[in-house]
Amino acid sequence: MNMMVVGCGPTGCSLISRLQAEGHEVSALAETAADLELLRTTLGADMPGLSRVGRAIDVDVLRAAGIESMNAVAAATENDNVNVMVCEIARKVFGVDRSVAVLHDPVRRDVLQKHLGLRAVCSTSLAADALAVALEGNLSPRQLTLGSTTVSFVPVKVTRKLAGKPLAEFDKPKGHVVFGVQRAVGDFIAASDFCTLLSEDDLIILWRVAD
Amino acid sequence: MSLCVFGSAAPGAGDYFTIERQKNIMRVCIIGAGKVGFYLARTLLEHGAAVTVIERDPQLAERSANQLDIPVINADGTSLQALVQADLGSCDALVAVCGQDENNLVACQLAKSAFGVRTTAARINNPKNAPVMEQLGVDIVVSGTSMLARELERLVETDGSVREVLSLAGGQASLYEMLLPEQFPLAGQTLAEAQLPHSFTVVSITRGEELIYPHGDTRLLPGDRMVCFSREDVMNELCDVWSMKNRGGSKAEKSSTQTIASLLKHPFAHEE
Repeated sequence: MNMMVVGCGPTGCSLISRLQAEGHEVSALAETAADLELLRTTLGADMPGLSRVGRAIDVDVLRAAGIESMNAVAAATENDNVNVMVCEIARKVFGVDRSVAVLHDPVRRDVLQKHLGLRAVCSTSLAADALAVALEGNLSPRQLTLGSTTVSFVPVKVTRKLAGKPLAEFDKPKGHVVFGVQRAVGDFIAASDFCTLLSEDDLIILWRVAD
Repeated sequence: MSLCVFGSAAPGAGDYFTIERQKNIMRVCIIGAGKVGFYLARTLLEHGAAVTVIERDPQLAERSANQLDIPVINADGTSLQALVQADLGSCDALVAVCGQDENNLVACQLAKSAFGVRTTAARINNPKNAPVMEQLGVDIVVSGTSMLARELERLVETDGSVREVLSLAGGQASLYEMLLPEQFPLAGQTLAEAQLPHSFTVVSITRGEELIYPHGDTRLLPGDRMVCFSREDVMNELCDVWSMKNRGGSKAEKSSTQTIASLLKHPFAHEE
């Protein structure tokens, strides 16, 4: 697919490198020459064929970066409002099917998503979620994005105290739903059967909405 | 984020709003208290509107609060908290006049979609954003740069140019000022002989220093400065026929603080 990434800060850079690794044609729009230089140093030989420097909310700059032939646009500058405006221009002026904005303010994200139908990822919520998981001492979670919502799957080790007891006795943390049990022996049991007896070193997989 | 409110009305902001609402007067929230925001607030207050200002810079916020004696919220005007505190839901209009187009857009979109504000106006710094902002749902788009350009154009005005002075009835018709060219096809004819189209009315003619109130026997001469009232399409056709140049500019793109004030008054005209 043809994808455009607006904003080549740390987020934009790693997004571009990932999209290219997955085989997409990427166009990069950096807001400053320094950002473009960062992208060049990060990507080296994998520098996208189409890369521009310019003001992100300028329709002519967006056009020069090829927005008219894009299947998807991600706005990942440091400025929430610039990202909103880029996505709005992509959607309503250029008719791009899929656009997503990075927003730092979770309140703004919720409001704009609800009222404008803007697709946005909140970097603050995602970081907070990862930090909470790390602080709570769980194993590293996996994230899955469904629509514009990100779901976290959090594995929790079965303690000695819980070994031999059924899954129903597991006291799950607030806001989490039990997804299933990853047995120490390797197989996975979905959470439909709460009579499943737990063994030590099994992993109970919980999920929750992260963003 | 903590929001502080400046101004004498600040402690009893709730009472202030209640009293103003009872009077059934226009309530306007202005985002940005720079030069444009400050003078706009002052103009609207003179017109009897209730004005609330949101400004991020503490010094600018304080200046407006002290000099205008109105509630000024010192916060980011695109944050939900600030807009809630400004009681935006009860405002008739929101005007965003910050220095950044993206902030003005987001403020207008939040006002319209989350607070149901009927009229939104935004100042744009890049004239290219005028059609974009309109397409994204901003009702009134104002460009300082275009305004300046049009004024400068007027200074170097040549023969045969036409300028839109005032747009009326949502752009259906306008007041135009035109300078009749040397090769004006109807030169020497009276207005009666000229048989001008139905939706085209000559309002005044200035010949040198003389102001003429036009009648059927008034003759049209090259060099006359003619003010006329016309439908836009009729004007465009006449410009083609008379080989004159219409310098109208974008329809929704208006200029100056005064214009925003008068445009804002318009939606309430039906109500009262």
